[in-house]
Amino acid sequence: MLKYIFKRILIGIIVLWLIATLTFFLAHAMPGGPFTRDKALPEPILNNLNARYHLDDPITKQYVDYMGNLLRGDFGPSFRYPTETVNDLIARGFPISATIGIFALIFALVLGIPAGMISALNHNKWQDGLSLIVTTILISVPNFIIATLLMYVFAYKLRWVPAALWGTPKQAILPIIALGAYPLAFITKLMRSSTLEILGQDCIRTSKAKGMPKKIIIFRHILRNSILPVLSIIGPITASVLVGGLVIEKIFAIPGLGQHLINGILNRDYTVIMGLTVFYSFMLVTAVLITDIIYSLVDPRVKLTGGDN
Amino acid sequence: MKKSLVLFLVLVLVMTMFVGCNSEPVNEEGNGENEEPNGEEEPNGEEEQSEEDELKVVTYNIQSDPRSVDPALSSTTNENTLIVQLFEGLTRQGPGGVLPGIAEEWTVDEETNTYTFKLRDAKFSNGDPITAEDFVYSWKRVLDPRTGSEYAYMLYYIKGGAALNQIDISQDDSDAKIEEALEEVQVKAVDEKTLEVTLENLTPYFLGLVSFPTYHPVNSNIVEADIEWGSKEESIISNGPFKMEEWKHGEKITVVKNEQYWDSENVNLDKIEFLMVEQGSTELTMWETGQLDITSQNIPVTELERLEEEGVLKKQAVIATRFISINTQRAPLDDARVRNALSMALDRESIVKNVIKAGSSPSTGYVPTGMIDDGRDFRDVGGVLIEENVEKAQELLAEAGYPDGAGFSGFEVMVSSNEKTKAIVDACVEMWKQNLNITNIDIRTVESKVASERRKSYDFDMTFSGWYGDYLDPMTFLELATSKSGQNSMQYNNEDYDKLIEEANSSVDENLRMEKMHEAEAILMADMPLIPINVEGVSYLESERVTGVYRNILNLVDFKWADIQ
Repeated sequence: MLKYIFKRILIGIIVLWLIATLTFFLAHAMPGGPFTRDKALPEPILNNLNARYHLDDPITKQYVDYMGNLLRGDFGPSFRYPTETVNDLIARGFPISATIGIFALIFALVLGIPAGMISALNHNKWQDGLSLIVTTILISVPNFIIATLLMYVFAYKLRWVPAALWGTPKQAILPIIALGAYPLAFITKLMRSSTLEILGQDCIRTSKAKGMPKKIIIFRHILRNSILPVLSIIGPITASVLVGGLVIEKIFAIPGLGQHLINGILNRDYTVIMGLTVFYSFMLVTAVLITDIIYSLVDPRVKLTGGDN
Repeated sequence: MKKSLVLFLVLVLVMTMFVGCNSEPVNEEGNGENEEPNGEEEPNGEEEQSEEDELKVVTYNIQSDPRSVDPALSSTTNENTLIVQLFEGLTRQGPGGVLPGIAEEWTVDEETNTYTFKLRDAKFSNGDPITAEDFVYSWKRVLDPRTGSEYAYMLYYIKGGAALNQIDISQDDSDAKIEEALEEVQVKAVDEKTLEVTLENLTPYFLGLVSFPTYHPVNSNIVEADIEWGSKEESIISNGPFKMEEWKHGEKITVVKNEQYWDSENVNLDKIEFLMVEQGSTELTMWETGQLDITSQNIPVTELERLEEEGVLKKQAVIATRFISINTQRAPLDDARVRNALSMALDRESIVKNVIKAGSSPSTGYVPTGMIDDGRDFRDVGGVLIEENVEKAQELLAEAGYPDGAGFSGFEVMVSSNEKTKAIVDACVEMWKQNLNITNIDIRTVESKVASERRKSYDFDMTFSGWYGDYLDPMTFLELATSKSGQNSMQYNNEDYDKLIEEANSSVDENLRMEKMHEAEAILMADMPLIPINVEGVSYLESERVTGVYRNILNLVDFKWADIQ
């Protein structure tokens, strides 16, 4: 197991390096730079700024310099806000984005797993039909529309919660629901189909025939098996939550990490773009790794080393 | 083990959700205080009773985090709005016009274009007295090319200013040259409270100019100690009605009444909270639910009509013209007849009424309304320089060689990704199609930095642009079309025009200066390198409980005299 984890970490590092390199060259390939303005800056000032930030060095030198700093964990100062380092921005914004993300995931799991199972257990009855309708809607409607709708109904019309900003539990409700909507629908559907599959298996029929109480069948046999596919997609779902968070944060004016990435790109703030992309990638790679490990713990049939199964 | 472990983990996570709900990121927000934070909480009710009884707080949206409040480095309207609350120059614009600020009184020697300002006893927020030397220091700092001030050109009126600022810093001997040029800038402290400045030319609007952030004084001790003082909460020392209390990057800036301000007894507000909400629709909802007192000018266009019907929409005319910028080196737009045809084929009234809405009016010339020419509006004196006549447009187009649009090689309109502009572009293109039978016009939307780059390198045919006046004089607009202007993306180069502008700038006679400017504008409108569409107006929303916010056509927003009912 340890050998496997070590190997995966190594691969993860290589992946991160590749992503960093690709992002670096792509970011610099975009037209314009941090000091391009609508009202053009006078040449001498522009030149001086570019010199100060080494933007006039050859691109390969900039790359090597940057990667060197990266290895030391130094993401560099933001171009647009030179008194802030990217590390500062992450330290400030990540806890907030993570909170929304984690709770959105919890929301999706806590509601989605039971919903999916109930759907499957009541296959073709009204519970199933209702769940199908709701999940289809939540999957198809983009999360920013859901966010705006929630804001309109609950903040504007009903005044149950504040419309935007961050800081109190009430302000967290709408963003979490908006962000968790898609994962909720996805997990519900997945849970439903995997439960249906398990239901059809012989071991379940045998248990029923044996006269085992329904509750025990559900919790001991069905749940444990049908939950496996859900565990396996937590990695990709984390990705969608990370990305979906950008839009949600913008709509609810939440000072998370998302605004920095969006603005970083628009401002051509190279250090911010690089730092945040590497950071997000690291989160994702880690999430996938953890998922695989948990999966192997939960399902004894899975051998991570890729044995005979 | 496994199944129950997983379920257990899920349950634990669920538990933390309920625990978390009580001690959540509220700590981060400093919610350890006994009262709830303003502006971010539930609307009305609770917070109003507890805090508002004692403190008068206004929440305003500046949309995004400013880079710095260093007046020398300001570059956006939002930054300026913040700076105006924190700092004050020799004069301050307010109800009644240009009012004494740090300067109590002044005299002008018209022979030598020298202004002498008498400063009052005023202090910085840390108690340091404000002296004439502070102004000398601050102004020279702005003009020093090493500072990187984007608005340094606002100080070119000072003799020696332009020469200093235009020194090329990449040259080896630049430091020596700069030291020399610094001595040559004609601003000096006669004594602690007397400032003397000599201008290059007669500049009747100079008193208004010195109220602008770029002319604000900064505390030299603070600046010398840390070059980035303007971005750090603890080092921001200012001299205006308010001072910096807290800066939560990306979230909120809080300023409080500055007791050291010379006129602090006339400042009613205790605190202003500047929020950073980028999304217009979110800002609107926040205003409607009471989370925000005053919006920025970013209200979604689709909501304007409804808000106007509800009677809450506030409008402000500003000195700004939206115009179509044409690259005069690109065929077929290099022919003035084509450009004039395009201008004449537009129905500006319709565009303003149906597309733009928000408090604007059709342009009748390049310089917008609001500027004074001998007691009258410059625009009125200049008259109507823009003609709208579809038949004549068609004739001109035929004359240029494209009768009824035949053989017209078309062009591309570069649009910066911005919903409002897009609709206007669509309207114009449609009018050209219908009235001139020109169908081969491409509209290309590009991201704003890409658009800026392309404009800089003249890699475009036509783009929609605009200009907000920096100060209350037609020159701020007319300068843009001179051949050496950095903003002249039209590549317009007309010797007669340049000459008239130069003559206007060096005129000692105000009437003559106005005359030259009118002549220049007439030439410009005959050549049409830029096609004016409308005079801009802005719309915003203000909570009824806030009164006394000073606004003017320079799009200034000043809370000095504001109050809560």
